[in-house]
Amino acid sequence: MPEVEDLMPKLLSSEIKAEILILYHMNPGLIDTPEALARRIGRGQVEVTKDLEDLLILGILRKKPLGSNEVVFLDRDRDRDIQKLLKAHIESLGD
Amino acid sequence: MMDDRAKTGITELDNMLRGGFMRGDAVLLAGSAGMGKTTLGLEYIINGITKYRENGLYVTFEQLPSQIYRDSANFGWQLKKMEEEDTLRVICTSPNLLLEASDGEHLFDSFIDEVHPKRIVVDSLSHLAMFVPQNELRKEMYKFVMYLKTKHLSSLLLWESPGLMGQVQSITEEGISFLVDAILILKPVEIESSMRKALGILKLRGSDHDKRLTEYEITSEGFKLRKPFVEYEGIMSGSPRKILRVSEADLLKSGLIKRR
Repeated sequence: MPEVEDLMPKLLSSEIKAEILILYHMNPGLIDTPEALARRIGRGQVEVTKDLEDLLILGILRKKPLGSNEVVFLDRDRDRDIQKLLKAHIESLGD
Repeated sequence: MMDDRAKTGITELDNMLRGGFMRGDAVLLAGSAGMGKTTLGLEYIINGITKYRENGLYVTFEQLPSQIYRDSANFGWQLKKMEEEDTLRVICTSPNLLLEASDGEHLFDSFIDEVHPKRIVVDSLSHLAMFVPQNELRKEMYKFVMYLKTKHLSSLLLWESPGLMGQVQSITEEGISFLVDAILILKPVEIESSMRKALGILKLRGSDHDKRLTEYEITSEGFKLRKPFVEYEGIMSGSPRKILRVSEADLLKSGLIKRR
């Protein structure tokens, strides 16, 4: 599990990353190609593909081949763990 | 022993189906926009989970799951809770991905491993027609239906059918009707200047079924079947007429017949 200090910049360093995270949190059963994801948030495919990389490295999203495509989906367990970590970090700031 | 029927959980509909859909069958639910296909699909899945302990997958191409969670909550159906309990997955994807597979792995395989569903709703299969050439559509649909059967899923495949607005000529232009085991239609009916809704069972392979077109409504609790349209004829043609029922006494009174 990465340290919180490493997580923050990877998670929230761009508006597109935030939009992708919101999209997956609201629609955890979303499984689609990067191209289709870009369409769903009304962004360009190149920018979305670039920003997806950090979320894939963190393991919140996962990627797998499907025929001639690659599909991206939410790793629910990993996402839950990272949310717990962030919550604990935010609570510790208030101490 | 498991019942050989997959009950919809809507008593009147199960009665029309003589107990429910045949288990493992592929059922086409056709209707034009606004007829309640999604509502009926959701109710089939939710009743499966809550009444019969049969987990489900709900696949959507058009609407995002967030919209489906919101709309379902209006009927009192808590889909997110069911997802947390691993009895349901609401999957959102692009229709063309249904036809893809890698090393034999299908898009749905991981979801099937997660919740071990007995039921699936695809909302709506007609979206595939946008991605597959007309001459290949039937073959691709056949492959998909066979995949669902191999996984022992009782499937409800929604089909957008604008042709059901007026005179019904065919359910799908693509000959999909022959690939499925059962066909239900949801059709708008104009009677005395008001729009009403009719459900009909066109086909139920291997079982008797109610042949009458039956009125239904979408209420705050979901899909409610009312009475069959027994007083009307010509509903399928799009021009319903009230059947005139004249008693012998009326005919005698009018002088059209004479007392024997």
